[in-house]
Amino acid sequence: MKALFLVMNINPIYEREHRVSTRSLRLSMAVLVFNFIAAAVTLIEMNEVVDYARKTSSIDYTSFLKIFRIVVFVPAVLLVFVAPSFISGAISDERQRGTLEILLTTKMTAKSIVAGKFLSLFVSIMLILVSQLPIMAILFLYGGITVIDIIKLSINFFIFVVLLISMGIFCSTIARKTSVATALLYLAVLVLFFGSLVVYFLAANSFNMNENNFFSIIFIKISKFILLFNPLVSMDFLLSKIMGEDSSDVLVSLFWYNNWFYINIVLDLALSVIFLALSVVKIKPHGKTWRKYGNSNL
Amino acid sequence: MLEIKNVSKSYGRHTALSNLCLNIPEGALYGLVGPNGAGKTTAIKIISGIIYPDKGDILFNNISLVKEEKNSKEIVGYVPDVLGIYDDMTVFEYMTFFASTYGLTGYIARKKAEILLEQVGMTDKRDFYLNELSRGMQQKLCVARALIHDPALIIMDEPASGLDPRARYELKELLQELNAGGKTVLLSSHILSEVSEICTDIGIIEGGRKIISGSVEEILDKVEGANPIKVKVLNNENLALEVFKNNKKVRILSVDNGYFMVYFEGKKLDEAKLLEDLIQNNILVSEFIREPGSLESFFIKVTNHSNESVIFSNEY
Repeated sequence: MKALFLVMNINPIYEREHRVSTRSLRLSMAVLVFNFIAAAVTLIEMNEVVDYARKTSSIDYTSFLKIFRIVVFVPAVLLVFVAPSFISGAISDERQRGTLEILLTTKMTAKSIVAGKFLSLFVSIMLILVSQLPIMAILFLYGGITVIDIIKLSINFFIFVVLLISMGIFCSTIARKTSVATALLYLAVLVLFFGSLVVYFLAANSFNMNENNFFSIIFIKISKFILLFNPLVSMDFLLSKIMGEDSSDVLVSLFWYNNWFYINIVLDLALSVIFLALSVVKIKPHGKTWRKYGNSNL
Repeated sequence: MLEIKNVSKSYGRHTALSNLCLNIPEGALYGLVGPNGAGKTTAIKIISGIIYPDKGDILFNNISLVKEEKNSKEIVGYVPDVLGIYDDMTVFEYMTFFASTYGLTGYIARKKAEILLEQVGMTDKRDFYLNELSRGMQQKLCVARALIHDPALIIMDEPASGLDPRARYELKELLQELNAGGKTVLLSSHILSEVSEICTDIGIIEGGRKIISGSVEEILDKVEGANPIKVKVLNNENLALEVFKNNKKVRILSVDNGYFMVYFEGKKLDEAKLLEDLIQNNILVSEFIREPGSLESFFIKVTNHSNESVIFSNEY
């Protein structure tokens, strides 16, 4: 924690980004829109529950858990669609402005530039998510959700955001223009978060049609491995457990079902580290890639 | 002294620099001149540490700027041709931000920023956002930014590009002030008149190689000597041709629009003897004049833009 505090205080990039982010309306609007949508969805769903209670004189407490599922998923999905526009300009904007060259001539290293960008984006996005806690907290009043569940979901969101930002920074380093970086990031997000689900469903279909087919078996195993990288799937697993639902239709053994969350954390963190490391290598002027190929992309 | 030793750099199949060797004296205001694509920006980026050469080394006072990355960061202040500004920051914030990138924070950073803004005449603009400044002011601010860590070597890529005459004048004064303060300044340009006006030393590169380098006086002497003597004869052209060929100091002889263009390596006395030879051979000479030296004509000549037809040539 102390190290993180020190980094936040001494990284000039983080300080600059933090300072100027408060000057534009973008972050405030994002917080407003996210909270508005989350609040609207929550209130609409709660209204249905209350309406049911009014009509039947009974309260279905499991409905609140269902609302909780929606309230958790809505910001996650919104983040997938909105966050790339925040993240994709991290390095490409600096390159287009001509400031990346100048920064590389200062004592800032490629690592510290990436770290500063990462931290500032992380803080901004977490601010958006944390601002929605009061809306989620309404549902805690009705019980059924333990502190451990909240902690696990928080960790899941944390990893999700870390992965999204790492992917975004990497796309930003390899693209010359921010528009290209944004398109690349949306493509990467589509492939990871939704493409992995599509692949799984195709594999599951194929497996169901012929369980003994060798290729179907291989296909389903590969698709399940790919799904392990998808933090939204991990979130669904957690929520299913909270709601006491049986997700055995995911066609995984008990080991994978019980440890999906932990395996997903490790894999996503590893993937994030790889993306960030590749970003540093791409920016760093004295890296081996530069020595061999020179650089006309800076 | 800044020594560029056999630096080569290629981008794929394109060779930007080919065994470039330059020596820039300490305390010089050095103009690096060349046509588009000569390799000026590549050379500047290598010195600044932004890109890495394929071969060669760059030494500043015997300290390698290539082998040890941190050396170039401490010694070099870099002003790119694309100014590199943040529209969403004020002038003072910009200065303190870059001070912090060199590890200067708090009171020291603020003090240095104030001093440098005063030096470039922008104290009254400290609370302006950068997108509110004119191009000339942004350029001055970039120079101030490059000085924040008190570098010994300041490198500027096309600093006068896009500036109006007033802004150019102010920039020239600023650069001369920096040079007078002991800084070594290296600037690249293709505006020769400015370079010859403000620089103490000039280097001309083309195709990634050095063509010529030295003090402005040395180069202008060579320029003067490199220009041809224009000779117009009214009779006996063939005899005149023989006279020129027999003179050992005539290097290249060509014809352009009815004039003999005599590239002559000799002093004024030798020029007078050549004229005497022509007259003694009963050749009527209506014009005999050496074109005045200019850096532009020399630059065009050495970058092979001449369209004279050469009659004969010794080595030049």
